[in-house]
Amino acid sequence: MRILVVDDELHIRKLIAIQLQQAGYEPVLVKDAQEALSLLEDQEVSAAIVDVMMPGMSGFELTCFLSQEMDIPVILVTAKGQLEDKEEGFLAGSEDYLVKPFEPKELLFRLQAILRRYGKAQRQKIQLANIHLDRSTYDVAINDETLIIPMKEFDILAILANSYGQTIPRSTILMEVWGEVEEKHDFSLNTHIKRLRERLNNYGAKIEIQTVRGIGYRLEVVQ
Amino acid sequence: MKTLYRQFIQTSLLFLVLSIVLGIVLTNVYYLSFTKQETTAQNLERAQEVALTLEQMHGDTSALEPFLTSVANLGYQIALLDSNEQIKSFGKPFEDLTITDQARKVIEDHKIYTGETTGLSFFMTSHFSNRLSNTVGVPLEIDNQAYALYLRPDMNLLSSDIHTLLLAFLLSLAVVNLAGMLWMARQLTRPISLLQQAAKEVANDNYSHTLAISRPDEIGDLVHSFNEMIDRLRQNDVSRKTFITNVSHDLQSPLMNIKGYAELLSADSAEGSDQRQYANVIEREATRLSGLAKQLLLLSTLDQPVYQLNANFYRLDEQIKENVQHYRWRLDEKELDVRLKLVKGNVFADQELMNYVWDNLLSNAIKYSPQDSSIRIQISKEKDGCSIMVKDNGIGIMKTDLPHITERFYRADQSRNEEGTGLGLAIVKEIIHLHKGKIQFISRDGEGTQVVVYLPQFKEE
Repeated sequence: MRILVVDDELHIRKLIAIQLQQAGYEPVLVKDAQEALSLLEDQEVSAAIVDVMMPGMSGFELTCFLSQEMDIPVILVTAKGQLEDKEEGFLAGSEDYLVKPFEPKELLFRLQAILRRYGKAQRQKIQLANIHLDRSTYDVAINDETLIIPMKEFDILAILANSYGQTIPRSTILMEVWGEVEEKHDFSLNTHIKRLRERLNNYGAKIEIQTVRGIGYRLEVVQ
Repeated sequence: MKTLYRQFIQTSLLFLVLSIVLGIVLTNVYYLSFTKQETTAQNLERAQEVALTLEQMHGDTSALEPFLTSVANLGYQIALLDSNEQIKSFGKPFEDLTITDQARKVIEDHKIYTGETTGLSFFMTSHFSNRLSNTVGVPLEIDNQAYALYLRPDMNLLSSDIHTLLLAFLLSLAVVNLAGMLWMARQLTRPISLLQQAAKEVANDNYSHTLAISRPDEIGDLVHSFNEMIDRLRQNDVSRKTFITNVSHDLQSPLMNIKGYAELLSADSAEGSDQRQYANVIEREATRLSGLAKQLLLLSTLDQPVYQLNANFYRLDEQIKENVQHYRWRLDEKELDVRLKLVKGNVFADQELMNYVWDNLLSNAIKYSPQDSSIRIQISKEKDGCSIMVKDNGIGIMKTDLPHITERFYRADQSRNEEGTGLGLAIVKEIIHLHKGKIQFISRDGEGTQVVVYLPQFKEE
């Protein structure tokens, strides 16, 4: 997956590139908005990481163009954590916002989250019994509480909730969440389902994950 | 240097002398303007009476001397001068029998003599001088012989016991007064000189000196304040020294690690996996140093006596959610879930500083939580304010550590907390105090930790 990195500082560009490479992405590096736009004329990218402070066209303007004209999700990066910047960034259409210095893992996590939700023809918000799922923030709301659960568990829950009442095959879940149907993920899926059930139970969710032997799982509302 | 004590004594003595001189001058003026004339007139009357009596005795000169002797015995000194310059004294004898020209006029010109008018006579003491010139004189004639009679009261006989008593009274008054003043001066100046010595000790960085003076007055208050000040200085000194020791230790050890592992890396002999490990150490230590530098800067800013909070109303629930979002990747790594129960509302606080607080509490909760456990965060309304609880199911805090965790550079059990600087919670506490809030830690070893922050100004949405 090709990721565009726009930053005027060589070392930061390189650092981000190395981290992206290690995570299996293909980084494309440019130093300003002008270069980014000319590069995009003959290359396609899945997402962009854009620095706010750049000579020439600012990160906000570039974000606006990328998200609205080219439908590319953008993560904005800035050195200052000011609220106005954050707001301006979201107004410009950025998907997420990172403040320097950030942990490489944080960047990768957010990139992954954006790529997962972006462009998928899924409902962003799902309401089921006393549960409310928000795909844009990965929040689960139960009654008046908000529950933050690991991303893979959220994905599984969202898939089940999206087709509530229907049985979803294991292979479908594995494909959607892990990107491949391999035996090595089987155990993982079992563990995640087990934990998900515990958490839903702990927090008083009025839904239940039922196992359909030999096929997969089904979400039911508990009376 | 002129000591206070000496100044006090000198001043009191000076005033004593001045008051005596002034007293003498004033009584002298009074004596000259009233008393002297009166006594002279009185004495003159006595002398004329005596002279008249003598003249009426008509030539009986044999009775002259016994008469004058008996008059003298009533308390007078008498001298009788005849035309042959012969003087006869009665009563206590005169020390000086010189007859001045003025006095001689009594016998030569039959004029009354009213005592000395020149020189020392203006001074009151002349009243007491035992001279012939200090008398009143009247002329008299017995058997056609001219005489002059000089008379003055005998002071020795007149001064009675009451005078002695009065004198003794005055003397003892003066002595007691003087002694009392000296004692008082000593009482006042002694603690001051002790204070001065103590202040000198403090100037030399010696804070072990406290003053054992207890008095219910201003000096006592001063000593009390002084002792309090020394106590405070001593505490500051101790914490300053520990702070410096800690800072230098905390700066030195990561630097030593970085230097050591960088040397190992450049030595080329290390295997690939070792190299990665060394690089990890260097990275971790650099992160620690950077964190420490930031925290020290923040702490020294907060320590300023007049730190201005940049406070306004903002959505607390959103701020906490954002902080949780920030740590999503770490929550995912540890497969933790976070249960948020947030009352929506605006808190009056410094947003930047509070960000630091939530970041710190949350990262601690994550750090000490075991894999696959749960963290709870709750905002609840309380009177005018709100309380925020962050609860984990982690390793907890040992009872012996609990009272110290907000102290600067305090680290509970080194092995548990190798990333920390020991400043995080100290800063958190400082920030909460700046907001006039409260922070409380409830924890037991192995049973998780619950942190409750109270902020006094909160408006529910």
